[in-house]
Amino acid sequence: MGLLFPIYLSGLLLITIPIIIHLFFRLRKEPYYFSSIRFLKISFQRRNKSLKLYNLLLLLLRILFIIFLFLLLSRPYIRVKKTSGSEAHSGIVNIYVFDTSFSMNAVFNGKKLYEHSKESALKTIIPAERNYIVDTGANESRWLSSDNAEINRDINSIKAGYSTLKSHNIIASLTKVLEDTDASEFQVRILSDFQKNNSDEMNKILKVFEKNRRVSKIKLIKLTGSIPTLPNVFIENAKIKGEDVRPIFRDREYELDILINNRCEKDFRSLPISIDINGKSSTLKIDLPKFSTRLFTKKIRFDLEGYYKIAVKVMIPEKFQHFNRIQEDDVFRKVLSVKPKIYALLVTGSDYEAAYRQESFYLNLALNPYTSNSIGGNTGDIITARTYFRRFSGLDLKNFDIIYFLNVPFFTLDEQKKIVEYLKSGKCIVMIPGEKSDKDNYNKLPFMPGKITRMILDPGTEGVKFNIHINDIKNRLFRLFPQDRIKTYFSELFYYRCIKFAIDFDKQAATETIMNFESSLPFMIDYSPAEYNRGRVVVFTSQMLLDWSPNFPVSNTFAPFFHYFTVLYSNRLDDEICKRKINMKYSSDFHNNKSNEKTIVNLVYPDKTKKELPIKVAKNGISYFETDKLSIPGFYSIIKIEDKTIETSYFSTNPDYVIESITDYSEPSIKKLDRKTKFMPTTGSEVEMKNKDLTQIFIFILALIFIFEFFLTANSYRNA
Amino acid sequence: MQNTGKHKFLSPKFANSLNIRFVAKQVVEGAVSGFHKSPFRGFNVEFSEHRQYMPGDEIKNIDWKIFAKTEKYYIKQYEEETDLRAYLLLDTSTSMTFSSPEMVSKLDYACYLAASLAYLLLKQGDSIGMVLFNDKITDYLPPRGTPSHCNLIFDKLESIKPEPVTGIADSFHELADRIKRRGVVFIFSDFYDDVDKITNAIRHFRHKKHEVVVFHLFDPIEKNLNIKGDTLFVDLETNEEILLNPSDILSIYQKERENFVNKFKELANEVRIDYNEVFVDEPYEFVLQKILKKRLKGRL
Repeated sequence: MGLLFPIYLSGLLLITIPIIIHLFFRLRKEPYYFSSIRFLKISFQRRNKSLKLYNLLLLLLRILFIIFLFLLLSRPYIRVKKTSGSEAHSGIVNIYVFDTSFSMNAVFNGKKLYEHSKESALKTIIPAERNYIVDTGANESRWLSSDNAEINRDINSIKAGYSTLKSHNIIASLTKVLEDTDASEFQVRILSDFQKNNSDEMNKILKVFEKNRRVSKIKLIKLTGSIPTLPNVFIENAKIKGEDVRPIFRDREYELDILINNRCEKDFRSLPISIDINGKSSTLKIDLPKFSTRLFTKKIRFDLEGYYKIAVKVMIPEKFQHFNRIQEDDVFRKVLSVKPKIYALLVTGSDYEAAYRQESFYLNLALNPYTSNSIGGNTGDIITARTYFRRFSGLDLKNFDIIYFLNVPFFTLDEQKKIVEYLKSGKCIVMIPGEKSDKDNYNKLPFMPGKITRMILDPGTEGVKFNIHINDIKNRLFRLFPQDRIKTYFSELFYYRCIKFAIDFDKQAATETIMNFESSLPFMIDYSPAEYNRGRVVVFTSQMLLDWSPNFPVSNTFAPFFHYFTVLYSNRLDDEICKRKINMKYSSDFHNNKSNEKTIVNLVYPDKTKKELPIKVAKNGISYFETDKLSIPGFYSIIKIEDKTIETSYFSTNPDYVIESITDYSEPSIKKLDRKTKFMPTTGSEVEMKNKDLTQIFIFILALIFIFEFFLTANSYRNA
Repeated sequence: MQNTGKHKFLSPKFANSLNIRFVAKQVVEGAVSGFHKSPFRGFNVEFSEHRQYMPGDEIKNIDWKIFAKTEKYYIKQYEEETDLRAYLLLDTSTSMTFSSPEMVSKLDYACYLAASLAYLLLKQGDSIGMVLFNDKITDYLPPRGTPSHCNLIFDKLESIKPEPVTGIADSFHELADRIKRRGVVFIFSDFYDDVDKITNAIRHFRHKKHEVVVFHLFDPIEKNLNIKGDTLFVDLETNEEILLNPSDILSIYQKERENFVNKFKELANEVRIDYNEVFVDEPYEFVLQKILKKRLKGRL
């Protein structure tokens, strides 16, 4: 139940009046001398019990009267669900609110969400009735004519843009319509995906309807679809074409997200960024305060001594129209730098570009489970670089704490020597031979802990035979960890997050758990950790696809273990990972060097060497931070700097999750929203809401109380 | 006898208007001849009945008209009338002093009635005595028929000092034993005592062959409890207190009071006493005349 005017509840204080009268004002001050009280005494003894009950009842009725009177003044109402469809009524005005924010560009069943919303609206619009449409993105609202063709034209002109939902203009026009329109009833349909980052604004719009008594129905129509992301694009395109299918720029403006790992020494209000596109270099001046927050904001006091990660969302102005327009569903984001804690190198045997990128993407995703989201990322504690296996011997390996050799077919003698040297320095390598790997070549490696004897399985087909399902893993973990937390994390279907979660909570228990877990699933992963010289060598000798998520390709099976071994064997587990919040000695350094605008980022490597890194946008559209040897793709979010306060906002494409708090500037914790506390309907559902005015019921109750009290008192007077 | 107008409880106007007589309903023993029936039969005043002639009867008493009709000898009998010895019993307990606003107290009202009756009876030649009592007899004036006795009674009435009492029945018993000759006993009281004890005491009067006339006095507020709101009642006799809202208990109270009065009415029917429930808001002249007329009617 809700109250339109809860201020009237303050009148409930008047309840104290009958209570005080009942308790304290019974005694008449002067005694009344009476001839004989013998009959009074007898009468009083006979009526004493009923009198007490009567007085109590009277008190109760008076209190109830006051309570219901002020509840009535507060105008109570309840929201009720209705399942009836749209019906034509005279005097009814139908209002259609189209959410045309950016997220409505998401695709479902091959159509964008706003297209779905238009279809849904067209099905319900009755031309004979009065219909009013609101386009939230364009900030437009208008009456529809009664002509079918015009209605179709008006509706079809609605299109999702790139803005977020802004309620104030819409509220103004809606309020005007609700006040000025002569209608007995308003029926409202809101067609939206109800993204969390729009929920505040949507709630404001909803309140306009909820407060209006003539609004008899509010129907929320939730449209859901996959938010376009880089990996999704890869996957979808790979499925469709089976070849290198990177996003293609097209001729329109796009968003550029820039993350800068920064030491806040200077004022960043005006941040120059150099962009090199198609050989043409340009410099953008970014006015930071213009960038508003989205999903989550938190103000942090400026600490001049600390390190901060600053992401800037850049709207490319129209003068940069020469940029190739990105593929329609895509958002182009660029990560310039992060603060690295562990440097990992992925040496991949795939020369196939899509697989190459896909593997590195999932490696990044696995290594940074919190800071990465479904779009992937390279912004957490572990920074990965990737290289083709024919090139890794050219790199200075000592910069990396751990090296993954994924599907590498073979190792030459030079490469073997380089790895031996690397291991001698106490570092770790993880080898995951694939189907194309030469088993004999591997068995001859000096640092190989054992012999590969088993056939390497084809994960796509063999894994299903073992009938290993996500529920098996769930059940095992449920017995070991608090269920609510496990459930929360499992609901995302990101297993590796569980492992990370386990490590965070109890490192030792997590280690044992993982060991037990793996031993109980012998066919899933078979690895052999061993020491060589002072280093460590881990070899995975089998792999398979778990039948749990179609979005998890083959190599992703190893994702949780990538993270696990990285933190376990990089020799930084205790020294760096656990203390990283205190001692950030491997942070990159940023200098806003006005004399040289092109120099943006200085990376400080673990060996204290520094490198100047220019920002580049690759021609193929995949943006990454690139040196001559490294490339670091990723994504992050937005930070607003104002005076000495940093306001950070994190972007999530998963509508079921919202970032609740930031423990560090790098790792927001994620909490699943309690749906019960929100009005948001479940996926694909249609919920019709109606404000039911309780005034009449309360008047009825008040009248009952009044009549009852009247009869009670009248009876008493009749006796008198 | 003319009223002098000097007395508090008897207005000259009312005294002069008292032309009606008080008559005893039953026989009383008097010393001189008067208006009231004597237990002794005679021939002088009023015809009573016929009886057959018996040898020895005087011939002059034979009713010759009957003889002419029936050829049988019948003798006329006459009742002898005598003077009345009346006693005014006045309750002087503190409960009698209760009065609702702008009303006379029950005690004063009783005094008015007593004074009027005393004047009336003395005027018609009867003897009148007075007894003031609470839980004991506090004052006793033996019956006299002299006009000066009236002044004595009036003086007594004006000098009454009420006192709290525990019971009045004992006083009645004492008085019943003290009065030797049959007469009329007027009782003015609110009877706030044990009903059984009081009724037994009244029976005692009747046992002694006295005619009893009861004036049961009430203030109107004792009947309707017309007091608003929660009230702390204090008993005038015992000083006991009780806090209540009269409207809450009114119906039960009235039933109790009615039962109380009914017991006296039952007693009146049983032992044939003249019971009068009197409210002090009625003019006492009216009450008195009503009672006198009632009695006269009963007599005729």
